[in-house]
Amino acid sequence: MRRRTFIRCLGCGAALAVAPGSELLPEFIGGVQNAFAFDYAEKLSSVEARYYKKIEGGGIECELCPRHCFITDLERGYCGVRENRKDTYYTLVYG
Amino acid sequence: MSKVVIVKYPEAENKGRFNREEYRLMLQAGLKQLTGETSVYQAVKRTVPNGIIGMKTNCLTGRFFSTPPELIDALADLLTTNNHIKENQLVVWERTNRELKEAGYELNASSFGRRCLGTDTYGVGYSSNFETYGEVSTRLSRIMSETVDININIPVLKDHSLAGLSAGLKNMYGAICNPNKFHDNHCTPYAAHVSALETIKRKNRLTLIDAARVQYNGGPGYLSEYLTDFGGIILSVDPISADRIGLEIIERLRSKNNLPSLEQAGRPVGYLQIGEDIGLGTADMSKIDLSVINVDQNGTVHSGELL
Repeated sequence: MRRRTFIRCLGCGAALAVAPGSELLPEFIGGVQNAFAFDYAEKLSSVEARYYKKIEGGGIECELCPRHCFITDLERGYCGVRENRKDTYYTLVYG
Repeated sequence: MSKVVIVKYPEAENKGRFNREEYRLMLQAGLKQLTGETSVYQAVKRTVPNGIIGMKTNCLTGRFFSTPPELIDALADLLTTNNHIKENQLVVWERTNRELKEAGYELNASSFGRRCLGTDTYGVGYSSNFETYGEVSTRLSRIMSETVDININIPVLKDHSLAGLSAGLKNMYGAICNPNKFHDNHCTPYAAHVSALETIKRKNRLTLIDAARVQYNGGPGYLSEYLTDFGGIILSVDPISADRIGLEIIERLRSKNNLPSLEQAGRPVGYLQIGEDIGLGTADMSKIDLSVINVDQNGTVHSGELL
C-alpha cells in the first residue's frame, strides 16, 4: 500500500467513526476499494526506444532482435515491452 | 442459418455519435429482431442469462474511436431493468485502466455500482493456467476466466493493417496475455483460434458491434480521413457471422471510396473461414440471415438498407 493511500484510509476511517450508519458508507467503502485497486497502477516508461526504423506509409520495424517485428500504431512487438505510438517507438521498461 | 441484425437510426441528429436513449431504442429493436421475441424482457433473458456479465470493449484509440460509454450505459439499462440483474453484476473491461479512462469511462473496482476496470488492476492480472487451441497457447485475463460468467463482446468496426478486419474476433486479443505473438500471416488462423479457446467460446454469448462510425482504412489506429458515419449497430450470437457482416460493410465502404479490396491490398481476412471450419460459426454469406432495420424515436421498426 502506498503512503498516500494509507493516509487517505485513515482520514476516511476517522470520518466514518464520527458518523456511524451514514448513507455515505457504501460510497466510502467503494472509494477505499478503488483506492486499493487503482493506486497500484503500473507506471510504464515512455522513453523513445532505439534500434527501430519508420516504414514509409506507416508503421515501424523493430530492429532490436532477429524477429524484426513490423508494428502498427498502438501495438507492441512480440516481446511486449516496446510500443508504437503514432510511429514513434517507445520502450515501456526503461529504468 | 445464422442470424445477424443491423439496426440503424436514420433520424438521429448525429448518426456517428448516438446518445444513450438512441442506443437503447436500437438495442431493444435489435434484440427483439434477433430473438423473435415480442417482449424486450424475454429477448434480453434469452440472449443474456443471469450471472456476472462482462462487457469487453475496444478502447485502443482512447477518446477518438472506442466503444462509446453511451452504448454501454444503454445496454446496462436494458440488462438491469426488469431483469433482476444488479448493477454490480455488470463488468465493463479492457486490457488497461488507461485505455478505459482515455475512452471516457469511470473506473470502478468496488462492490458498488457497475464495475469498470482493466486487466492491469491490482489483484486482477492474467490467469496462471494456460489455455491452448490449435496454434494459440495463452493465459486469459482473470476478468474473463474467473470474474464473469458470460461475456458480451462490444468492439468497434474498423480496418486493420495486419489482420484486415478488426471487429469481434480481433477484440478478443484484449483478453489474452500475449496478443503480440499472434499477428503473423494476417492473424490467420490465430484470431479464430483465440475465440475457440474453451473459456472464450463458452462465455461469449453476444457480439454487439458498434458501427455508428466505421473506419474503412488505416486501422487499427485512428485516422479520421477514413472514418465515416454508418449509423448503426450489429448484433449476433454467432461471432463469425457478425464479423463477416462487418467485413462486408468495410469492403463496400472501401469500394465506394475507390480503395482496393482487403485481399487486393494484401490483407485477406482468412481467419473467418478458419472460424467456420472449426465450428465457431458461419462465414458463408449465403448462409447468413441478415436483417437490416431502421428504428425511429418512437421505437417503431421499418426495413432498412445496408448502405
